[in-house]
Amino acid sequence: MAMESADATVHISLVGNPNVGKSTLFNALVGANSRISNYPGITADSVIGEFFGAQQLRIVTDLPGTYSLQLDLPEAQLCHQHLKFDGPLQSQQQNLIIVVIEAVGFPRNFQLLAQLLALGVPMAAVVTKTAEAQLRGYQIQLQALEESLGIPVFEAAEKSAMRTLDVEALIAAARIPTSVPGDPQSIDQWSSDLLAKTSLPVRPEQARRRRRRDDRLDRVLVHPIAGSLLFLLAMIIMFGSVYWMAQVPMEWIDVAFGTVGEWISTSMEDGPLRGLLVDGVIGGISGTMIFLPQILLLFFLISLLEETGYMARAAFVADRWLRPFGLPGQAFVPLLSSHACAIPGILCTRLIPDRRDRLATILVAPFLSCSARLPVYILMVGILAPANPLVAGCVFVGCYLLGALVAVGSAGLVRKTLLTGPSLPMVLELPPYRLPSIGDAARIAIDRGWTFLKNAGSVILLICIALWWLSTYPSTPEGPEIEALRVAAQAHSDPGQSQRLLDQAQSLHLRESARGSYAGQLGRWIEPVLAPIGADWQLSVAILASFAAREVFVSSLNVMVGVNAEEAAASSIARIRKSKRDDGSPLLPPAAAGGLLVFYILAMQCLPTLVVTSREAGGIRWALLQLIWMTSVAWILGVVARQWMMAAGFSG
Amino acid sequence: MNQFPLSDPQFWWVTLLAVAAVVLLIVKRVRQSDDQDQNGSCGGCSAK
Repeated sequence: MAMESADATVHISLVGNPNVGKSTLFNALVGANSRISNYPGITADSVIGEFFGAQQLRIVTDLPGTYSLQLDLPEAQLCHQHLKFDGPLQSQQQNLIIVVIEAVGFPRNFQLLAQLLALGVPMAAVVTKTAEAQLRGYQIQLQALEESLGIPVFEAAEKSAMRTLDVEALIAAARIPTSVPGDPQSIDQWSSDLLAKTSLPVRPEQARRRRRRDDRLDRVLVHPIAGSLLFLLAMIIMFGSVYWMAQVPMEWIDVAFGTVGEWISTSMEDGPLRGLLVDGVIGGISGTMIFLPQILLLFFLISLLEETGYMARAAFVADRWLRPFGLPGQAFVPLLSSHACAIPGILCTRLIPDRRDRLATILVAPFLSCSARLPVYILMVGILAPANPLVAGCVFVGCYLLGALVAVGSAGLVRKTLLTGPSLPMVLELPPYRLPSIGDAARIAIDRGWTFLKNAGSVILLICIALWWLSTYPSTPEGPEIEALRVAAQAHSDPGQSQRLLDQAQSLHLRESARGSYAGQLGRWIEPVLAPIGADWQLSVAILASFAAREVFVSSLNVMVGVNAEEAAASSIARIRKSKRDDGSPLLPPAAAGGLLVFYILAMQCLPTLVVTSREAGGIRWALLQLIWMTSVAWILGVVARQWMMAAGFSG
Repeated sequence: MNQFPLSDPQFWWVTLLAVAAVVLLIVKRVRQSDDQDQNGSCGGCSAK
C-alpha cells in the first residue's frame, strides 16, 4: 500500500532564469498565490506546493531563478543541490522538470537548458512572453524548438496565459530529451545552431521604435536627479490617492459596524456579554475591517506600478542611494519586499552572497514600513492632517521615507562598526515597459487584503477579547463622589440638568472602572516610560498589547476607549479621536499623535520577525541587537518629534 | 474596593471566552512560527 502511494507521487521541479514566470506557473499548478513580481529575486528559497491530478499526488518545487547550475551564487547552488544530490530526482519515484524559457532574451536561457537536458530526466518546456518578443522584433519557432530540444514545448504568450495553460497535457507530454549537447566546448556551437533554427526576425522597424521609446523613458526615469524626484512624486501621488479614495468606503464600514453595535446595545440587556460583544468583538472586527479599503488600494496601485516595469527602474535609482551606506545593490529587493512584510524580506536576503552585507540588510529590514503599520499610520495621519488628502499623502510618504532613511542610516552605522568591508555592485535586468493588467493587479490586491483579514483579523479579534476582559475586571464599585452626583440628579427638578448630572456620574464611573482594571493598573505602571512620546495609560496599554504584533494597536485602543466611552454607537476611529484622558484633555493631541507615529514607524514590535532574524542571522544576539536598537531609536526620535511639534505650537 | 461578579453567570462566560482567546492566540503564534520557512509572513502583514 505504501509502495502504491509512493508510485502515485510525481515530483515536478520548476527551473528557469530569474523573472521568467516560474512562480506564476507554480501558482497555476498548485492554485496558490506565491508572491510574484516584475523584478528578479523574489523566490529566494525553493517553495514547495502540491496538488492532485489524474489520481496522482503532484509535489511541485519552485526553484529560485538561475542562469546556470554552476555559478558561485546561492541560488545556483540551491538548484544544483536540489536537482543533482538531495532532490527527488535521486529517488525511485516519478519525477520531471518543467523548464520555463523566456522568449525575451532568448539566448540567455541556453546554458541552463543545456545543463538540464544533460540530466536525462523527463522534461517539458514552457516558453513565456512570446508576444513581448514579437514586439522586440523576433519570433520563436516553437515547432523547430521542440524538434531541436527533443522535448515538448508549450507557449504562454503573456504572463496571464500561464493560468490557462493545459497543465495535465504539459505533465503527460514530458519526456526524456533526445537532444543532449556534448562537452562544454560544443555548447557554444549548439547554442548558435539553436538560435539560428528557432528565432525568426519580424517587424524590425516597429521593434526599433519601441526600443527607442524605452530608451527615451529610461533616460528620464533612471536619471540620478530626475529619476529620484519622479520616484518621490510617484509615491506622493500613490499614497495621496490611496488616502483620498479610501475615505468613502472606510466611512461605510465604520457606520455599518456602529449600527450593528447600536442594534446589539438596544436589543440586549446590559451586562458583561453585551460589553464583550459590542466593545470586544465588534470593536475588534471593525478595527480590522476599516483598514481594508486602503490596503486593497495600496496593493492594487503597487501591482500596477510593478507590472509597468517601473519598479525595476526604481531599484536602479535606489541603488545609488544605498551604496554610500554600505548596502549592496542586492539589498534593494529584500528591502522592497519588507514594505509588505519584513519576514519575506529577511528570507530574500539569502540571495546576498556576502555575509556582512546580508547581516546588515537583515538588521535594518524591519525599519521599512510593513503593511501591519498601516492602520496606525491611517489613524495618526487622520489626526495630523484631517480632511486634506494632499497633506495626508505627504505625511504618508514621510512615514515610509523616515523608515527608509533610518534603515540606511543604521546600515551605514553597522557597516562602519560591527560589519566592516566593501559591498558588491548590483546587476539587474530592466524589463521592457508594458501596459499593466488591471485584472491581475485587482487579483493580487484582493489576495493581499484577504490574507490581512484572515491572518491579522483573527489575531486582533483574540487579543481584543482578552484585552476587553483585562480592561473590565476587577470592576470598581461606585465611590462617594459618584453616589453624590446620582443623589443630586434625583433631587433636581430640571430634567435636562438631572440627565447631565447622571451622564457625569456614568462617565466618572466608567473612567474609574477602567483605571482600576488590570489593564488600567498595567497602563499606569508603564505610563512613565511612554509618557515622553505622548502616551497616557490608555495608549500605554495599547502600545504594550501591540509589542508582539503591531497591527493590534488601533483595535486595542478601540477596546480601551470603548470600555471607557459614553456613546456606545460612536464609530471606531471617531471614538478614538474624540476620547479624553483622565484630566479631560484629548487622548491624541497632534504632538502626541506625531510622537507616537514616529515611534510606530521605527519600533520593533513583531515577535515573528525577531524569531526569523535570530534564525537567519545565526544567533539570538542579532535579534536582541535589532530589538534594542530599533526600540531605542523609536523612543528617542518619538520624543524629539513630540517636543519639536510642541515647540512649533501644536498641543501635546 | 475592587470586585468580580462571581454570582453572575455572564461573568463566567466572558471569562471562559477570554481564556479561550488567549489559548487560541498562543496556539496560532506557535503554528505560525513553524510556517515561516516558505517565504511566509509574520501573520499580521499582507505579504505571502
